[in-house]
Amino acid sequence: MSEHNEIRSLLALAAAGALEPDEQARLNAHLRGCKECAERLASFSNIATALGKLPSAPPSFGLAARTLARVTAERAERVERRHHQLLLALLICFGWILTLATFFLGRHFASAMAQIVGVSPTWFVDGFISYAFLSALASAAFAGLIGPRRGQQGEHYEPLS
Amino acid sequence: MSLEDNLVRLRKGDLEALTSLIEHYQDRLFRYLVRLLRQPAAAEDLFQQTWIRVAERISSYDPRRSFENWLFTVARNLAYDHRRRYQPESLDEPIPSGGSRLDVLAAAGESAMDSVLSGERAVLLANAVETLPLIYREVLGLRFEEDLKLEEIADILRIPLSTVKSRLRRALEELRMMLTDELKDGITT
Repeated sequence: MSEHNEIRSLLALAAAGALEPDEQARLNAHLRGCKECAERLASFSNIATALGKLPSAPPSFGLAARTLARVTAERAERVERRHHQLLLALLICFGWILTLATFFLGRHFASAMAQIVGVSPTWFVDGFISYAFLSALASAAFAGLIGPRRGQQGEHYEPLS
Repeated sequence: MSLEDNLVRLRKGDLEALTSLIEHYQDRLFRYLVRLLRQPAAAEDLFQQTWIRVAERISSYDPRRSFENWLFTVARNLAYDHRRRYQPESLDEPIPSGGSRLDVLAAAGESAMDSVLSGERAVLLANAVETLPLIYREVLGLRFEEDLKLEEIADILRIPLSTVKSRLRRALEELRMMLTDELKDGITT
């Protein structure tokens, strides 16, 4: 690439103030004898100056206040969501513990309870096992249904006011 | 209260500190988002989302890094996500080589040629910038409107310095090609 073409490729960056000192020195030396590059640089400089003065839509009135309100609301919602998740986890744990406790108590007192109710002890134990299994299944299903729904609510943004 | 003080307060969870931060960066951040998205309404929504993200992630902000760069990076990431979701045009669509884009400008409904004739050259330039791909618009905005250094732009865009330079050069060359006729009279006059 000739010196002239090399310098030409630097002109846009020169107008953007993006040349290294050695590149700038080479450009300055070249410009003293090259009217074409000087004119081209002037056109880039015109654009660069105009870009700094481009009109732009101003933010609407009260944007800062609305933003702060939205941030505050978002944080409050996040805290509430965390509380709900914690509560949900506690409820599920409680459900499992209760189910297990009922199961073991049921097994321990199965004979006595079966006599009182008047059914066979085997039937009574089977009934308790079924009950414990269904309760655990219901807890898991509940967690599976509610958990994702809470998560989706967390990703939702309120429409702009 | 200084910017650093407000950042410390925000890191401690004090949302009141956001007030002065938002006001300080409001104009520049909004202008940057408008330049990226071209739609003030979408820019306003993302402006708010940016500050929500800032409040959420302030604990992950490294104080050794410029807050301004971090803020603009957050805004940029959200803007790119938004464009991918709602304006699925290629983010790095190449500039068609050769030929002037004045015909595109003239057909854009903003009557670019009329603007030239009536002396509204800023409108013409703004329209020309609008036709550039996003990756060129953002470097132009950060360099000339936000007056950031090339290193800061590289930090915000997470790209090498050499890429910032090449995008800047190509964007300016493309603009010059589009505006060649008008430059004879001096676009800033």
